[in-house]
Amino acid sequence: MRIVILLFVCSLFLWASNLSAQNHLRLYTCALANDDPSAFMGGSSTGAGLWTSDDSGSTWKHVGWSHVKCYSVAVVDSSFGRTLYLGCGNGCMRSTDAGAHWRMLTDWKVAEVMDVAIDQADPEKISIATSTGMWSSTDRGEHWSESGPREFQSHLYYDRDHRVVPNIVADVLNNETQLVLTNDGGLFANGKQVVRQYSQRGPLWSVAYSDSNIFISGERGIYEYDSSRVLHLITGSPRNIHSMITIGNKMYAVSLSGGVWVCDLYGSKRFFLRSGLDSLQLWSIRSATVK
Amino acid sequence: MTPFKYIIIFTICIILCKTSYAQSDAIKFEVIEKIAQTEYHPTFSAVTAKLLEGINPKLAYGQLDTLLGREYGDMFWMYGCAGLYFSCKNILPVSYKQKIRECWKHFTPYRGDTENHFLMYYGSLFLFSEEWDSLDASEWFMGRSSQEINAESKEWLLYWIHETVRTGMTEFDSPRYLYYYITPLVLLSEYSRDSAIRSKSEMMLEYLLANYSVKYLGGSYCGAHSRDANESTLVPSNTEAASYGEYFFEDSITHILPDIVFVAATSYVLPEIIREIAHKRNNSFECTEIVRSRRRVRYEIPAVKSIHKYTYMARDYALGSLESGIAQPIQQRTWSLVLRSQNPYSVIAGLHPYYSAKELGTFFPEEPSFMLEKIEAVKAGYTSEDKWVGASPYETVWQRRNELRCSYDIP
Repeated sequence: MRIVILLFVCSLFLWASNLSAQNHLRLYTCALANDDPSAFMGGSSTGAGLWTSDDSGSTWKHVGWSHVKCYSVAVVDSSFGRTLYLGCGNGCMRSTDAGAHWRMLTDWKVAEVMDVAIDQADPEKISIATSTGMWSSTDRGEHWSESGPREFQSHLYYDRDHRVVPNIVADVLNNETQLVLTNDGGLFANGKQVVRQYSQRGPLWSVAYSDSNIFISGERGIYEYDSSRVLHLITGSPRNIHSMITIGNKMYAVSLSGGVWVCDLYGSKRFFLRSGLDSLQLWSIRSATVK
Repeated sequence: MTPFKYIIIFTICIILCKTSYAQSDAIKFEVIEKIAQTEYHPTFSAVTAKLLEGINPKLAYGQLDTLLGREYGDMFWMYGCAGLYFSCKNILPVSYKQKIRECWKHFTPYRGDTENHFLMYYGSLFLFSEEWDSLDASEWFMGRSSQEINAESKEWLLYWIHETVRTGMTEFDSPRYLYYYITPLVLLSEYSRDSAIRSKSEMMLEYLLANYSVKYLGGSYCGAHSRDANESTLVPSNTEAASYGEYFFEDSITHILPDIVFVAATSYVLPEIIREIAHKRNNSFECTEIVRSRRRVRYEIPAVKSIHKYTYMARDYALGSLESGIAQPIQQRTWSLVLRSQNPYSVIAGLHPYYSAKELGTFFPEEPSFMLEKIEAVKAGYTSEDKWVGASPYETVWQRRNELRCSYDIP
C-alpha cells in the first residue's frame, strides 16, 4: 500500500513538474541602445532588439535580430509564445517559431513602428502605430493598408469590442473608475481630465493595474492613483518608466534610462529592485504563457 | 624639320598632356594605387583597392575576413560590401563570394532613417537580389525572397528619384553626406542588370554632381547645407564631398578618401559640361532652388515642407542661405560666405546655438525629453554654445544677391 501511495505521489509530482515545464510565463522586453556613439538616435548598436526571460526577470536572453531599434512586441495568446510581432525601426516583423526566424512584413513605406497590437479574438488582424500613421492588416501582416490619419502614433490597442483604437495608450476599468491615458500624455478618469502632458509631472506613458491599484508611469517614475483621483509618486530612482505590467502581486517596469525593475505589490510599501538589462533603453514589457 | 615632323611632335605633346586629365584612366589608376598603398583600418574600399592592384593581397584578404567575420550593424556595411563584391567580382575567389552570401543571410543590418541610409540599404539590396536572383525567403536576413527584395528595392529607388527631381532632396547640398549618395548610384549605374535603374541611377548621379558643380568654388562646397559639421564649417575645402569634387572637377587629386576607389573602378565619366560649370566663374550668378525639409514626425504640419534656397556665386566668393527655420535637425548650416583663398579657414558663418527637446521630437520618433537627456552621447556638441552647426527658430534670414541680413530675436 505504501508503495502504491509513494508511486502515486511521485507520479503526481512528475505530472505537476511536467506541467510547469510545459506552461510557464515568459517576459518580453524591447530595447534600443542609443548610448553607443555609432548609433543614430537610438539606432543600431549592439544590445538593441528583443529580450526574453523565462525566470521572472532573473536572467535575460537576446532573441532574433541584433542592430534593430525595437519599440514594441505583441504575442498571439493562442500560440503559446510561438507567434510574435515586433514593432521596429525597420518595420514590423513576425516570427512563428518563438523568435528563431523572422520575416519583415512591411516594406519601405513603413518605418518607426512604435507599437503593434493583435486582435486576440481574431489573430489574423494586426495593427501598427508608426511615426507617420496607423496601418492595419487582416492577413497576419502580409498586406497592409493605412487605417488612420497620417500623423505620429505612439500607441494603439484593440478594445473590448475588437476595434483598433489609436491615440490611446490604454484604458483601465477598476473599481468603477475608468481611466484612459492618451498618447500625448492626457489622463482621463471617468471622462474627466486629470493631468496633461508637460504638466509638472512630465509626459505619461503607460497604465497598469492590480486587483486594487491603478498605476501610471511617466518621465518621473511610477504613480499610484488613489480613490480621490490623486497621483502619488511611488518610485525613487527608477525614472523614465515607459512601460509596465502587473502579474499577480508583482509589477515589472522598464525604463528608458535603463533596466528592468521589479516591485512586490503586497502591503503599502513599494520597493523597486533592479532586474537586469541596466545598460539598455527599454521601451516595452509584455508577458505570455508559453509551452 | 619638316612640317610632318612638327605635326607628329605636336600630336605626341597633346597626348602626353592629356594622359592625366580629370577622370582619365591615368587618374583612375593613380587613385586606386594610392588607396591600395595607404594603410587604413579594415574597410571594404581599401580592400577593394588592394585586390584590384594586387598589392599585399594577404593583408587584403585578412582584412576582408575581419569585415565578414563579425556582424556590423547598418547600411554603411552593406554598401561597402556591395562595392567590393561588384568591383572585384572577376577576381574574388568563390570561397569569398560564398562568405559574402552567408553574411547577407545571417547579418541583420539597420535600415536607418534618412535618404542616404535608404539609398545605401536599397541600392545594395537591389544589386545583390539581382546577383542572387532565385533565392527563397529563408536565404535572406529579413525573411523575404530575392524577388520580393528586388521589387521593393526597385520601387523605393524609383520613388526616391521621382520625388527628388520633382521636389528636391531632403539632405540637400551636404558636404559630408553627398559622399554616401555617390557610391550607391555609381554601383547601380555600372553593375545593375536593369536598364531603367542603370540609366536613372546615372542620371541621378549627374543630377547630384551638376548641383554640386554650381556651388563649387576652388574645392569648397558653398552656400547653405542641410547637414554640415563643425570641422567642415571651419574648413569647407576639407570635406568628404571635396574628395569627389577633386576627382570629378579637377585634373589632379590630393584629398583622396577610400570610397573613391568604387568610382575609379568603373567606366563612369562625368560629362564635360558639368565639369565646366564647376569652373566657369567669370560672371557672377544667382542659383535659386526648392528643396525639402526632413520629415517632421511631431508638432509641425505638413510633414515635409518645401524650403527655398538661394546662392550667389561670384568669381572669388559665394554667399548662400536657406529660408528661416529648421529644415534639418542638429546639423543645418543656414548661411555662409565662402572665399576663394589659399587659407583653409576661408569662411564666415553664424548661427544661434539653439537646442531643444522640441527640435529633436520634431524629427525623431523617440521620446523628446529623453532624447535631449541622451543626445550628447550620440551627437556630441549639440547642446554646446560653441557649436558651428544647427538652426534656430529665432533666426530670420533675408538675402538678395550679395547682401545678406540675419536677425536673431531670441526670447
